[in-house]
Amino acid sequence: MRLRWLAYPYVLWTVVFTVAPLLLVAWFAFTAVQPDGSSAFTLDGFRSIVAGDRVPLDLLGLQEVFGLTVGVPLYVNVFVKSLQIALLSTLACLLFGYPAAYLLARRRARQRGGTDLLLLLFVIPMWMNALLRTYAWLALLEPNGIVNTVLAAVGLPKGQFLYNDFGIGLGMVYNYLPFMVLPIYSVLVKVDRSLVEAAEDLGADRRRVFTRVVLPLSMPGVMSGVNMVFMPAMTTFLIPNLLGGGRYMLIGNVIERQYMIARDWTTASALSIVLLVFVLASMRFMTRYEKGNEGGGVLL
Amino acid sequence: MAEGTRPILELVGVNKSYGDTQVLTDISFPIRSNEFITLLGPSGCGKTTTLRILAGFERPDSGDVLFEGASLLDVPPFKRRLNTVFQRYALFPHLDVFENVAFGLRLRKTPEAEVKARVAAALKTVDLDGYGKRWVDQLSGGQMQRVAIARAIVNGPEILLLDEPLGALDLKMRKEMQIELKDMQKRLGITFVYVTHDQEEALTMSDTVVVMREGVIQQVGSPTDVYNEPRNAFVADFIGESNILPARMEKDFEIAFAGHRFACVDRRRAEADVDVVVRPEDIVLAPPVEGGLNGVVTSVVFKGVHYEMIVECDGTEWMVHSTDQAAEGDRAALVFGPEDIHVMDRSPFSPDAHGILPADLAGRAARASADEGDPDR
Amino acid sequence: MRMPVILALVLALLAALALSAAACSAPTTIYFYNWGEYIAENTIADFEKANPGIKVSMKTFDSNEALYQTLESTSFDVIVPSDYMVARLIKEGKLYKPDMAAIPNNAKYNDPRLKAVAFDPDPAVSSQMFDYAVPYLFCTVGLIYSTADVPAPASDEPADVWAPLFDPKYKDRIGMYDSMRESIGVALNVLGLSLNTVDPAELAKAKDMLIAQKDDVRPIYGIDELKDKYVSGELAAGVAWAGDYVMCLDKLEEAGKDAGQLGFALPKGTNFFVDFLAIPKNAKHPAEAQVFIDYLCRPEVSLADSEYAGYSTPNLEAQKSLPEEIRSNPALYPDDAAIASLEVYYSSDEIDEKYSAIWESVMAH
Ligand SMILES: Nc1ncnc2c1ncn2[C@@H]1O[C@H](COP(=O)(O)OP(=O)(O)OP(=O)(O)O)[C@@H](O)[C@H]1O
Ligand SMILES: [Mg+2]
Repeated sequence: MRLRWLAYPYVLWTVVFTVAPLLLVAWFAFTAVQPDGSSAFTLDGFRSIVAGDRVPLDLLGLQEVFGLTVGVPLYVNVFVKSLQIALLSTLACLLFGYPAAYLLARRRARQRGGTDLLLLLFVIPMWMNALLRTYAWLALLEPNGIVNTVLAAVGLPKGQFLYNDFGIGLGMVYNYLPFMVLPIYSVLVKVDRSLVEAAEDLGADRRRVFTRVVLPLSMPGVMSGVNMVFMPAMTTFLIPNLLGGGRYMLIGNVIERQYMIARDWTTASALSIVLLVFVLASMRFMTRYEKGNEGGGVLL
Repeated sequence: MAEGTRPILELVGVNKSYGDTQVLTDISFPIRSNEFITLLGPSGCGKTTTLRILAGFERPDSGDVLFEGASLLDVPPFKRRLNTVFQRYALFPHLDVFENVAFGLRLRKTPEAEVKARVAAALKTVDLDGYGKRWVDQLSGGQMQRVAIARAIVNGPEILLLDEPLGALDLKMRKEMQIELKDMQKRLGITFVYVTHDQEEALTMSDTVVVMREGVIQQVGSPTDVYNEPRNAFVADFIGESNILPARMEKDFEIAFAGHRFACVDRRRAEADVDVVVRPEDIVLAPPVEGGLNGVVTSVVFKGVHYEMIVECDGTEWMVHSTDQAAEGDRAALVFGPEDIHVMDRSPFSPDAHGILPADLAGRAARASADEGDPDR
Repeated sequence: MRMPVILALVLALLAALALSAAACSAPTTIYFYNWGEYIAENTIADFEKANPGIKVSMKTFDSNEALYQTLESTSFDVIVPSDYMVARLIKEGKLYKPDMAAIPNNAKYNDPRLKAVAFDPDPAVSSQMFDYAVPYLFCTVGLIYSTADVPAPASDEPADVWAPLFDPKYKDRIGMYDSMRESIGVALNVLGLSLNTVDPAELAKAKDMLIAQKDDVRPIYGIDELKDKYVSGELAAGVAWAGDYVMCLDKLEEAGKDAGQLGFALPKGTNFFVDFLAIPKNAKHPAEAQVFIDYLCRPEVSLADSEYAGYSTPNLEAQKSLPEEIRSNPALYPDDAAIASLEVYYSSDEIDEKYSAIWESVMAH
């Protein structure tokens, strides 16, 4: 199909800001700079992903419980760890986000128009810089931070909220919750009230109205919420950097360090490509699972 | 015919308002078992609201809804043993046609084989067999409406509430479905509470018609009652074409209107101001006679079975339906017998001296008939 | 190869500046390339007042590698490379050999013991260090610890000094630098190995030690953010540059806390490094550069810079004016025996690659 001239700026935009960087990353992934300054084709980047130390696979800490150890390359383990924490955070966002979106949508239905202050409270954090937000959390949750000071003041034991799975998960849920709530909310407010009545009319109690009508109808929102949380959760390096005490490495951190500190652009780019392919594949999987792709999916 | 059977449902003094607008005022009528009762009235008169109160989606401000004598007000919709065919279908977009119809059966954990059989039968009833695998957004408006009917009847409810279930169908389909629904109602012994603003549909299908206007019941009666004995000018005008004129009882069996005296079959207090209605099909055009109700034919429209003619007599326009054609400009006398004159009490809807109905009433009637052509209604 | 456009712009700008300076026949401007926050705030202004013919324009860098890269394309008059980078620049012939007679303060005040340090495995290079460069400030790597939580080390044996860093008692309360040389250096130091070893078996031992430490002690890894955590008491101990320790003391003072809260201990054989003042070969104004370097070697100037940066001054005259508790702290101003035991880092592609690989896998664990 011929593109209309109006589309050219967008084409240019995608080429400059999407296609070109991607090609650049791919180029770095498959080349290494030789001592004489030239670039040569290599698969070393991909090889070093699987070549690293062998470590026991960390599956939800299960290897300790069952005494099962599967040796995997270090980066594969980091990948698996990132995947777990991303999935768990996404799940947590879903578990907190869905009821929140549901309540907000019901308030909306009752109020009919006007801005909902509660919704605003959910959205406002999205307008704030993630860095600032997370720093604020740091001040709250530090070992000597506000929360622990309060706990100590009322005679409770201090908790270790940061630098561990819990802290990272909390940070992710906090940062990404709005991205789960908003798409679900916007689908839920559009669910026709008459469908709920039709279900009630046919004999569905509140629970079954929810499971058989509201929930399936909100699945497109859930899917795009899941995508919008899972993707950044899988690739983030900011949150582990800030809340992980520098010792918490997810795949995003490993890539960042390879680029910025070790300056091994070949490995860093190879890791980026693997991550990209993985994320795209999982989104593809989810959008396929979603029936008929009813406009909720973000991509593909 | 249904008079003798017990009421299964009953509305008692129901009032309902949304904000400042009073939508229903003192609505009371019984619904008898196995009855086909129709709520008839112009758009916005509160028909849907009445159904929603019966189904339990709205709570009346005052009054009661009785089911076999017990109040239904605190029974949630899903526990009421009735099903609704919604005016706007309300089909589930995430399910295919089969699953839409099967929805109620599945909630009751019906065995799969029975689900299949009953859904197939219901789809056949609405002439949609073979459409089970379609998504509802791949259906025409009329097909959706039929799915909505199938989805309700498949559950075999005691009472079926139907909110303009045939509004989106073409004339032929509509006639077929009317027969089908009526037949089903008789066969299955279901009580139908039917909403329409199509008076013909109401008259042909119903056992009882409830005529409403702006949230107030104007008349409850059998189709023949409301047609032949309209309680007031509004009912007369809404139920079929009619000539409505202000009149005065001279004495028993004698009435004066349109500048003439006529013999009639009613006895009323003498000197009483009343309205009369003369149906157009009851009028015969005859050659002008001295002292008769003479006029000039001003318009002739062919309507298929008959001609619709307007005859002007002394400034009053009369509508006449006749299979005999007259020509525009012909002079003719209007002839009708005493039994063709229906006498009604005066009401806010009474016409003025020239037989012109109050503007709002005429407007509403016009709108109601215009709505019939709109498939989305 | 990095950002050639920006570099070209910078060059054009510099050229324009140089031209306009020449046109006015105004004072000569020398270009000074320094670490961030590494010179007292009024040193340059004072120098310009004292030398009306010379203006100083300062830019900053944050790693020796960045300095090295920029030198390729930009002309500076005075730079501040660390010891191993000086050695590398000498080897590559990229330094101008200054006239030391024009920098009399160097010979007059700077600690002569530094000349004995082997700054490069090649004695020929090491012996030339002080022909090409003048020491500016120096720093040691040692243990910072909270005196309330951690007892002072029993001796200056590395195993004693670094012990808290590997003690699960301080789980979650240990700080490690997210910097490969310092952190791997700690392990090598404990193991009694050279801080510059490239022996795979030795390095493997150090790596295992660091991984075990990560599992058992769960240190916090960072650089700048660690200081606040020592001051707040969140961290009990950690590896630290002496300069960071001094800054922590300043922070304690600012917060109105007791400086005795934090201690600093220097194990035998740990790292120390010296940052030098040098003139690149492509400098445009070497003569004025020498004047500036000599000025920086004045005792009162060196004292001010040292106190501002928190790093130790090699200027013996300046040292005399330091507060007693700083001057007498052997961790900041090591004695002869300590100096003799300290080791500088060497830099080579092999070291960079091996250490980086180890550090990345420790961090990814
Ligand atoms: N939820 C509501 N809020 C406010 N007003 C309402 C609401 N629902 C209905 N109304 C008003 O109540 C009146 C009766 O509405 P209803 O839907 O019962 O009319 P209807 O007889 O079914 O009309 P139609 O033939 O057009 O379907 C209308 O004036 C309508 O505007
Ligand atoms: Mg309606």
